Amino acid sequence: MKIGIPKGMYIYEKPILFEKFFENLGCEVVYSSDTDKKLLEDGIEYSIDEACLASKIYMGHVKDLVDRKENEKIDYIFIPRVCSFENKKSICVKFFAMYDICKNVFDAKFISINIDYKEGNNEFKAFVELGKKLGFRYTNIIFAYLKARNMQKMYDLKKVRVQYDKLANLSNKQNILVVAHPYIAYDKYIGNEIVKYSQKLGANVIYACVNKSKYSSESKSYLKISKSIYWKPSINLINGIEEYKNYIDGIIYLTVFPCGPDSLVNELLIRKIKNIPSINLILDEQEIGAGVYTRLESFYDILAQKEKKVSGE
Amino acid sequence: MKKKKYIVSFPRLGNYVYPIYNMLDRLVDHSMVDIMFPKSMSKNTIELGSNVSPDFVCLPFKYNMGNFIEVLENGANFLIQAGGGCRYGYYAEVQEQILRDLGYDFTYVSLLEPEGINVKKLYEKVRLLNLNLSFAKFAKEVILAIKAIELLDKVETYIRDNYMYEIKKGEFDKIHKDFIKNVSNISFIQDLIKLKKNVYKRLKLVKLLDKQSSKHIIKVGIIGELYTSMEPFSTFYLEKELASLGVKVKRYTTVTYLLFKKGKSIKKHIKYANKYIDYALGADGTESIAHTLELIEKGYDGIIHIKPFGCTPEINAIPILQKIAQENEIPIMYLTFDSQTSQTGIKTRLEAFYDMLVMKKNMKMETKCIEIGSKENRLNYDKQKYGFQN
Repeated sequence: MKIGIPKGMYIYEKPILFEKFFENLGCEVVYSSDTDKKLLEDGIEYSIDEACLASKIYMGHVKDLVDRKENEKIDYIFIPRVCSFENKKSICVKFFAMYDICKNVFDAKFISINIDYKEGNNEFKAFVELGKKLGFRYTNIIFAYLKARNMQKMYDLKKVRVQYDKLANLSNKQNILVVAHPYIAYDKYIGNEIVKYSQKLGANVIYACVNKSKYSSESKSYLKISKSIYWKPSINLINGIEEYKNYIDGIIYLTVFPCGPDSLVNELLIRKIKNIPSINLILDEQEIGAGVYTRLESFYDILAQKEKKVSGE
Repeated sequence: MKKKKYIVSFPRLGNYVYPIYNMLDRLVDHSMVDIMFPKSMSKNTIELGSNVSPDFVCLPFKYNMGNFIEVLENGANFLIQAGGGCRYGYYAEVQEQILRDLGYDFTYVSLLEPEGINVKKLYEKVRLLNLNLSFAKFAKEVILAIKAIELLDKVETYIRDNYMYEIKKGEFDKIHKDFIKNVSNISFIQDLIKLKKNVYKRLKLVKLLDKQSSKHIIKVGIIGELYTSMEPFSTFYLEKELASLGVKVKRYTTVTYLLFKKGKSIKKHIKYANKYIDYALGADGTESIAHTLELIEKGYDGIIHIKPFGCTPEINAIPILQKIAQENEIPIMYLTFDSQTSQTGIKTRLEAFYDMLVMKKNMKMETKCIEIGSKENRLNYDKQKYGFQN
């Protein structure tokens, strides 16, 4: 059996888990191509104008797999449906509906996993359900899930370690924290371009979404900044800020237009975190070009000048 | 030193401000608390609100901010926000931070928890405004307010359903006006029952067109996001505009529905719409789908889908609605409201939509009329009956 996975949105939160689960069950996994101009244009064509950029990119990835499904004999396209988590935490409603939207927009076979703790569908149950839908045996499914979960954990821990190594590597570089959802920060066409440009300008980029608190039990440090927040991905980002705030020289708030949770959360973060210089970048479907780069350059110039003042030159 | 007096206020939402004001008025201790009726919506409200709000936050946030700034400027120092699902549950914290940064001094209370209603916590919060409030009194007043809101919804729904069919124009408007005045000063459940009987009697007395002679009336269903559905100012009085064109309007979203029926009916809706969706779409998205199918079944001529800019759950629903529209050949117009939307623009679009619906309906009738006579006769017939100008 061959499963196609579109590279966007929730897949970035747990990149290993889904891939390894299918592979452990003996399925073949193919990913959609990297985001590029053509893929984004496809995505825009198949989306509502007002939808957020991340979802437009996602639609592009789905389109990519739908086009390839005949030639490459892809049996199912996998679209997770994520709704609620433990401790009454939730996620942007976009994740509620991606599966149903794609089902109605494209003509292909889709398969979904429904993670909804509020309805009693925790991650474990959801994976069992998914495995059963594909026709596997109960024991195999459990084994595949537990193994995949473990691998995901190892992968995350390794990523955190690498990031801390990067921080410990004392150099003259500015440590810049990118506060963005992983599907924005790591996307080849949007987030990655900004990170690459920052590195070119001499910054040491670290990600807020990669942090210790994500896996070392439920961290409560986000409560220092926001008491009533209930979106799990945003909580993870705030935990990241709390964790790294003593090591960083600047923050880049990177979001896409018009992201629902970020429209409120980033506003609050900018208002509450005042001692660290920050820049708020909102990306839309126009190509990332001179406008964004100029703003980044001037941000780094300001950081450099601030440092000069501190060191008394 | 004399303790500072609390001046309480809250954001507006349609005609619901009246029962809510009445409830607060009866709950609080008047020696320490005054209640300020929120200023009615104006262009100024939304301008004030969008000046201080994040750029791409949804529209209700901006309206609420505008309401708050207006009452704060008038001396209020205790703000109440409802709270709820989707982004609404997180409004409170961000709004409080923004208003504090603007230098206002106030107490801020969000009544509902993100996960739903918690009666005990709600009681504790209201106790801030009346230290001697007993739970029995609190329960009585809340139930009374809920019943009043229920009645308000029932009356408004009845009027909306029959507005186009009244023979002598203006009767419903008068009943509605009197009813709103009365519903704001109810003190006991008996008063409410009396008011209910009275208003029902008057409503029943209004003479309506019979089925045959009201066949030509265009019927349009309004679906979509809750704030734009319930706060007429945010859609430039969309329903009134439609009524002035002679359109019968149906709307599902009311506070009664959101508070008591939504939780139970969501599974039913998904089942009803299982041809198109497998899961809930979040907030009112699922309802939009299910109600569209219901309206098609009931033979409505067209559907208007409304939402504030950037409303994610409704954006989720649109691709699915488009498919439904295509498969069932029903016209759906999508309207998005923002602080920049122009009233004239909306009006023009409504008129065009109406014309199109009339043409579509006539085309259907034309095929029926083809035996009756020649084309000229038919045109004359249409002109007399529908007031067409060719």
